[in-house]
Amino acid sequence: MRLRLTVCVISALAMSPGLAAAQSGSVTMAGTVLTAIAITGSDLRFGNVMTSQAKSVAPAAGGRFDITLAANAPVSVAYTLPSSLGPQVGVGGWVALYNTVNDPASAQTVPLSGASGTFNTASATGQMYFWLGATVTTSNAAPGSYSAPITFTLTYN
Amino acid sequence: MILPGLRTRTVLLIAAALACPGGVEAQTGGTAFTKATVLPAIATIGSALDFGTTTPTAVKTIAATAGGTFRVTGTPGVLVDVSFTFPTTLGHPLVAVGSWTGAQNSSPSAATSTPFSPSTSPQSFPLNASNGRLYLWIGGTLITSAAPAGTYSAPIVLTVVYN
Repeated sequence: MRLRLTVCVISALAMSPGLAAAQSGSVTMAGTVLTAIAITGSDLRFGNVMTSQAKSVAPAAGGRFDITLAANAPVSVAYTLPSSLGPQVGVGGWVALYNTVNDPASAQTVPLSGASGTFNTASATGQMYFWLGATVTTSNAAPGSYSAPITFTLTYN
Repeated sequence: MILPGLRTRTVLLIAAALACPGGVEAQTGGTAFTKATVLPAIATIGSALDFGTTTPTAVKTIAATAGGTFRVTGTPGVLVDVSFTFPTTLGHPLVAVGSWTGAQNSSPSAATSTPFSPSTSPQSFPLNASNGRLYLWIGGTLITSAAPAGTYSAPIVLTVVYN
Protein backbone atom coordinates (compact mmCIF):
# COMPACT_ATOMS: atom_id res chain seq x y z
CA MET A 1 0.00 0.00 0.00
CA ARG A 2 2.78 2.41 0.82
CA LEU A 3 4.47 1.80 -2.50
CA ARG A 4 1.29 2.22 -4.50
CA LEU A 5 0.58 5.67 -3.01
CA THR A 6 4.06 6.75 -3.96
CA VAL A 7 3.49 5.72 -7.55
CA CYS A 8 0.34 7.84 -7.75
CA VAL A 9 2.27 10.95 -6.73
CA ILE A 10 4.90 10.34 -9.36
CA SER A 11 2.27 9.77 -12.04
CA ALA A 12 0.57 13.09 -11.24
CA LEU A 13 3.86 14.91 -11.71
CA ALA A 14 4.63 13.15 -14.94
CA MET A 15 1.30 13.86 -16.64
CA SER A 16 1.72 17.62 -16.32
CA PRO A 17 4.38 18.64 -18.83
CA GLY A 18 4.34 22.20 -17.61
CA LEU A 19 5.17 21.22 -14.15
CA ALA A 20 7.83 18.87 -15.34
CA ALA A 21 9.53 21.64 -17.26
CA ALA A 22 9.31 24.42 -14.69
CA GLN A 23 9.47 22.72 -11.40
CA SER A 24 11.29 19.96 -9.76
CA GLY A 25 10.23 17.84 -6.87
CA SER A 26 11.20 14.68 -5.20
CA VAL A 27 9.54 11.92 -3.30
CA THR A 28 11.14 9.18 -1.35
CA MET A 29 10.42 5.64 -2.31
CA ALA A 30 11.08 2.99 0.25
CA GLY A 31 10.81 -0.73 -0.01
CA THR A 32 12.04 -3.57 2.11
CA VAL A 33 12.99 -6.80 0.48
CA LEU A 34 12.41 -9.65 2.89
CA THR A 35 13.81 -13.12 2.95
CA ALA A 36 12.02 -15.36 0.52
CA ILE A 37 9.51 -17.65 2.20
CA ALA A 38 10.27 -21.34 1.84
CA ILE A 39 7.69 -24.02 2.60
CA THR A 40 8.06 -27.78 2.61
CA GLY A 41 5.17 -30.10 3.36
CA SER A 42 4.91 -33.69 4.49
CA ASP A 43 1.76 -35.74 4.02
CA LEU A 44 -0.95 -36.54 6.52
CA ARG A 45 -1.18 -40.32 6.22
CA PHE A 46 -4.14 -42.24 7.57
CA GLY A 47 -2.71 -45.55 6.41
CA ASN A 48 -5.12 -48.42 5.95
CA VAL A 49 -8.77 -48.00 6.77
CA MET A 50 -11.83 -50.21 6.51
CA THR A 51 -14.60 -49.66 4.00
CA SER A 52 -16.66 -48.16 6.84
CA GLN A 53 -14.61 -46.65 9.63
CA ALA A 54 -13.64 -43.42 11.35
CA LYS A 55 -9.90 -43.09 11.92
CA SER A 56 -8.16 -40.13 13.49
CA VAL A 57 -4.56 -39.03 13.30
CA ALA A 58 -3.34 -36.54 15.90
CA PRO A 59 -1.53 -33.43 14.65
CA ALA A 60 1.80 -34.46 16.16
CA ALA A 61 1.67 -37.65 14.10
CA GLY A 62 0.05 -36.06 11.06
CA GLY A 63 1.01 -33.77 8.23
CA ARG A 64 3.53 -31.00 8.69
CA PHE A 65 4.60 -27.77 7.03
CA ASP A 66 8.09 -26.41 7.72
CA ILE A 67 8.44 -22.74 6.86
CA THR A 68 11.43 -20.42 6.74
CA LEU A 69 10.82 -16.68 6.52
CA ALA A 70 12.06 -13.34 7.80
CA ALA A 71 12.15 -13.16 11.57
CA ASN A 72 9.46 -11.03 13.19
CA ALA A 73 7.80 -10.25 9.87
CA PRO A 74 4.02 -10.39 10.07
CA VAL A 75 2.52 -12.77 7.56
CA SER A 76 -0.93 -13.93 6.64
CA VAL A 77 -1.41 -17.65 6.31
CA ALA A 78 -4.13 -18.86 3.98
CA TYR A 79 -5.03 -22.52 4.19
CA THR A 80 -7.23 -24.86 2.21
CA LEU A 81 -8.18 -28.22 3.66
CA PRO A 82 -9.99 -31.00 1.83
CA SER A 83 -13.35 -32.27 3.02
CA SER A 84 -13.19 -35.44 0.97
CA LEU A 85 -10.55 -37.81 -0.34
CA GLY A 86 -12.99 -39.40 -2.79
CA PRO A 87 -16.44 -40.98 -2.95
CA GLN A 88 -17.61 -42.04 0.52
CA VAL A 89 -14.23 -41.04 1.97
CA GLY A 90 -14.77 -37.90 4.01
CA VAL A 91 -12.16 -36.04 6.00
CA GLY A 92 -12.81 -33.48 8.71
CA GLY A 93 -12.28 -32.63 12.33
CA TRP A 94 -9.12 -30.78 11.39
CA VAL A 95 -6.78 -29.77 14.20
CA ALA A 96 -3.72 -27.61 13.57
CA LEU A 97 -0.82 -26.83 15.86
CA TYR A 98 1.70 -24.04 15.42
CA ASN A 99 5.13 -23.42 16.87
CA THR A 100 8.28 -21.47 16.09
CA VAL A 101 10.40 -24.41 17.14
CA ASN A 102 10.14 -28.00 15.96
CA ASP A 103 8.24 -29.26 18.97
CA PRO A 104 4.56 -30.20 18.69
CA ALA A 105 4.38 -30.83 22.45
CA SER A 106 4.78 -27.13 23.20
CA ALA A 107 2.82 -25.94 20.15
CA GLN A 108 -0.32 -23.88 20.34
CA THR A 109 -3.59 -24.71 18.66
CA VAL A 110 -4.43 -22.75 15.53
CA PRO A 111 -8.08 -21.66 15.41
CA LEU A 112 -9.30 -23.06 12.09
CA SER A 113 -12.52 -21.77 10.62
CA GLY A 114 -13.83 -24.28 8.13
CA ALA A 115 -12.16 -25.82 5.14
CA SER A 116 -10.39 -22.59 4.21
CA GLY A 117 -9.41 -19.43 5.96
CA THR A 118 -6.68 -16.96 6.79
CA PHE A 119 -4.93 -15.94 9.96
CA ASN A 120 -2.05 -13.64 10.79
CA THR A 121 1.10 -14.54 12.65
CA ALA A 122 4.83 -13.89 12.88
CA SER A 123 7.88 -15.79 14.03
CA ALA A 124 10.69 -14.39 16.12
CA THR A 125 12.91 -17.28 15.07
CA GLY A 126 12.25 -17.06 11.34
CA GLN A 127 10.92 -20.60 11.50
CA MET A 128 7.33 -21.82 11.60
CA TYR A 129 6.02 -25.31 12.01
CA PHE A 130 2.45 -26.39 11.47
CA TRP A 131 1.15 -29.85 12.35
CA LEU A 132 -2.17 -31.05 11.00
CA GLY A 133 -4.37 -33.86 12.20
CA ALA A 134 -7.84 -34.94 11.10
CA THR A 135 -10.34 -37.76 10.97
CA VAL A 136 -11.08 -39.79 7.87
CA THR A 137 -14.52 -41.37 7.71
CA THR A 138 -15.34 -44.07 5.20
CA SER A 139 -18.88 -45.19 4.52
CA ASN A 140 -19.07 -48.22 2.26
CA ALA A 141 -16.08 -46.83 0.37
CA ALA A 142 -14.62 -48.81 -2.46
CA PRO A 143 -11.18 -50.28 -1.77
CA GLY A 144 -8.40 -48.17 -3.21
CA SER A 145 -5.98 -45.36 -2.52
CA TYR A 146 -7.30 -41.88 -1.96
CA SER A 147 -5.63 -38.50 -1.56
CA ALA A 148 -6.35 -34.78 -1.66
CA PRO A 149 -4.10 -31.73 -1.30
CA ILE A 150 -3.67 -29.47 1.70
CA THR A 151 -2.37 -26.03 0.75
CA PHE A 152 -0.77 -23.35 2.87
CA THR A 153 0.04 -19.96 1.32
CA LEU A 154 2.05 -17.37 3.24
CA THR A 155 2.17 -13.70 2.32
CA TYR A 156 4.13 -10.95 4.01
CA ASN A 157 1.73 -8.32 5.32
CA MET B 1 19.84 19.65 -22.18
CA ILE B 2 16.90 18.63 -20.06
CA LEU B 3 14.97 15.65 -21.26
CA PRO B 4 11.86 15.62 -19.11
CA GLY B 5 10.19 12.82 -21.04
CA LEU B 6 13.08 10.44 -20.54
CA ARG B 7 13.36 11.36 -16.89
CA THR B 8 9.68 10.70 -16.32
CA ARG B 9 9.83 7.28 -17.93
CA THR B 10 12.77 6.28 -15.79
CA VAL B 11 11.04 7.25 -12.59
CA LEU B 12 7.91 5.35 -13.50
CA LEU B 13 9.83 2.23 -14.37
CA ILE B 14 11.57 2.23 -11.02
CA ALA B 15 8.32 2.84 -9.21
CA ALA B 16 6.59 0.06 -11.08
CA ALA B 17 9.43 -2.33 -10.43
CA LEU B 18 9.22 -1.71 -6.72
CA ALA B 19 5.48 -1.73 -6.54
CA CYS B 20 4.46 -4.74 -8.56
CA PRO B 21 6.83 -7.67 -8.39
CA GLY B 22 7.41 -7.38 -4.66
CA GLY B 23 3.89 -8.52 -3.88
CA VAL B 24 4.30 -11.63 -5.99
CA GLU B 25 7.66 -12.67 -4.57
CA ALA B 26 6.46 -12.21 -1.00
CA GLN B 27 3.89 -14.99 -1.31
CA THR B 28 4.77 -18.65 -1.16
CA GLY B 29 2.57 -21.70 -1.12
CA GLY B 30 3.19 -25.22 0.03
CA THR B 31 1.22 -28.38 -0.54
CA ALA B 32 1.02 -31.65 1.35
CA PHE B 33 -1.41 -34.47 0.75
CA THR B 34 -3.96 -36.24 2.86
CA LYS B 35 -3.78 -39.93 2.05
CA ALA B 36 -5.75 -43.01 2.98
CA THR B 37 -6.00 -46.53 1.62
CA VAL B 38 -9.33 -48.29 1.89
CA LEU B 39 -8.94 -52.05 2.18
CA PRO B 40 -11.55 -54.79 1.70
CA ALA B 41 -13.76 -55.64 4.66
CA ILE B 42 -12.54 -57.82 7.51
CA ALA B 43 -14.49 -60.96 8.36
CA THR B 44 -14.60 -62.56 11.80
CA ILE B 45 -15.96 -65.88 12.98
CA GLY B 46 -16.16 -66.82 16.66
CA SER B 47 -16.71 -69.94 18.72
CA ALA B 48 -17.80 -69.80 22.37
CA LEU B 49 -15.66 -69.86 25.49
CA ASP B 50 -17.46 -72.70 27.25
CA PHE B 51 -16.95 -73.18 31.00
CA GLY B 52 -19.06 -76.31 30.95
CA THR B 53 -20.76 -77.27 34.20
CA THR B 54 -19.85 -75.99 37.63
CA THR B 55 -21.19 -75.99 41.19
CA PRO B 56 -23.10 -73.07 42.82
CA THR B 57 -19.92 -71.91 44.54
CA ALA B 58 -16.76 -72.52 42.60
CA VAL B 59 -13.85 -71.02 40.70
CA LYS B 60 -13.18 -72.47 37.28
CA THR B 61 -10.50 -71.36 34.84
CA ILE B 62 -10.26 -72.14 31.14
CA ALA B 63 -6.88 -71.55 29.52
CA ALA B 64 -6.82 -69.37 26.44
CA THR B 65 -5.61 -72.13 24.16
CA ALA B 66 -8.60 -74.26 25.26
CA GLY B 67 -11.06 -71.37 25.25
CA GLY B 68 -13.08 -69.43 22.77
CA THR B 69 -11.71 -68.84 19.31
CA PHE B 70 -11.94 -65.99 16.83
CA ARG B 71 -10.81 -66.30 13.23
CA VAL B 72 -10.12 -63.01 11.46
CA THR B 73 -9.75 -62.73 7.69
CA GLY B 74 -8.58 -59.58 5.93
CA THR B 75 -5.96 -58.25 3.54
CA PRO B 76 -2.85 -60.49 3.70
CA GLY B 77 0.16 -59.13 5.50
CA VAL B 78 -1.57 -56.04 6.92
CA LEU B 79 -1.54 -55.04 10.58
CA VAL B 80 -4.86 -54.97 12.38
CA ASP B 81 -5.83 -53.43 15.71
CA VAL B 82 -7.68 -55.85 17.97
CA SER B 83 -9.73 -54.85 21.01
CA PHE B 84 -12.29 -56.61 23.20
CA THR B 85 -15.33 -55.86 25.26
CA PHE B 86 -15.72 -58.40 28.05
CA PRO B 87 -18.65 -59.13 30.32
CA THR B 88 -18.21 -59.03 34.09
CA THR B 89 -20.97 -61.55 34.74
CA LEU B 90 -22.76 -64.18 32.71
CA GLY B 91 -26.05 -62.45 33.25
CA HIS B 92 -26.39 -63.01 36.99
CA PRO B 93 -24.50 -61.11 39.71
CA LEU B 94 -23.54 -64.38 41.43
CA VAL B 95 -21.99 -65.73 38.23
CA ALA B 96 -18.95 -63.54 37.72
CA VAL B 97 -16.35 -63.88 35.02
CA GLY B 98 -12.97 -62.21 34.52
CA SER B 99 -9.18 -62.68 34.56
CA TRP B 100 -9.13 -62.85 30.78
CA THR B 101 -6.19 -64.37 28.95
CA GLY B 102 -5.39 -64.51 25.25
CA ALA B 103 -3.28 -66.17 22.62
CA GLN B 104 -2.78 -65.29 18.98
CA ASN B 105 -1.34 -66.87 15.87
CA SER B 106 -1.46 -66.35 12.12
CA SER B 107 -1.98 -70.09 11.74
CA PRO B 108 -4.78 -72.15 13.35
CA SER B 109 -2.43 -73.89 15.80
CA ALA B 110 -3.09 -73.02 19.44
CA ALA B 111 -0.01 -75.03 20.37
CA THR B 112 2.30 -72.60 18.59
CA SER B 113 0.36 -69.47 19.52
CA THR B 114 1.75 -66.47 21.40
CA PRO B 115 0.10 -65.30 24.65
CA PHE B 116 -1.20 -61.77 24.99
CA SER B 117 -3.33 -59.86 27.48
CA PRO B 118 -6.66 -59.10 25.82
CA SER B 119 -7.77 -55.57 26.47
CA THR B 120 -10.26 -52.92 25.62
CA SER B 121 -7.27 -50.97 24.26
CA PRO B 122 -6.24 -51.83 20.69
CA GLN B 123 -3.30 -54.16 20.16
CA SER B 124 -1.72 -54.70 16.76
CA PHE B 125 -1.23 -58.10 15.17
CA PRO B 126 -0.30 -58.99 11.58
CA LEU B 127 -2.60 -60.93 9.33
CA ASN B 128 -1.09 -63.98 7.68
CA ALA B 129 0.90 -62.86 4.66
CA SER B 130 -0.55 -65.61 2.49
CA ASN B 131 -4.19 -66.00 3.44
CA GLY B 132 -4.89 -62.89 5.55
CA ARG B 133 -5.89 -64.95 8.58
CA LEU B 134 -5.41 -64.26 12.30
CA TYR B 135 -6.51 -66.62 15.06
CA LEU B 136 -7.28 -65.44 18.58
CA TRP B 137 -8.01 -67.60 21.61
CA ILE B 138 -9.61 -66.25 24.77
CA GLY B 139 -9.65 -67.82 28.23
CA GLY B 140 -11.05 -66.64 31.53
CA THR B 141 -12.14 -67.50 35.05
CA LEU B 142 -15.71 -68.14 36.17
CA ILE B 143 -16.56 -67.50 39.83
CA THR B 144 -19.91 -68.64 41.22
CA SER B 145 -21.03 -67.60 44.72
CA ALA B 146 -24.15 -69.52 45.76
CA ALA B 147 -25.39 -69.09 42.23
CA PRO B 148 -28.80 -70.48 41.38
CA ALA B 149 -28.84 -73.42 39.00
CA GLY B 150 -29.27 -72.49 35.40
CA THR B 151 -27.61 -71.78 32.11
CA TYR B 152 -25.79 -68.49 31.76
CA SER B 153 -24.12 -66.70 28.92
CA ALA B 154 -22.85 -63.29 27.90
CA PRO B 155 -21.16 -61.98 24.77
CA ILE B 156 -17.47 -61.24 24.23
CA VAL B 157 -17.17 -58.59 21.54
CA LEU B 158 -14.10 -58.50 19.34
CA THR B 159 -13.40 -55.36 17.32
CA VAL B 160 -10.86 -55.49 14.50
CA VAL B 161 -9.79 -52.56 12.35
CA TYR B 162 -6.86 -51.99 10.03
CA ASN B 163 -3.94 -50.33 11.76
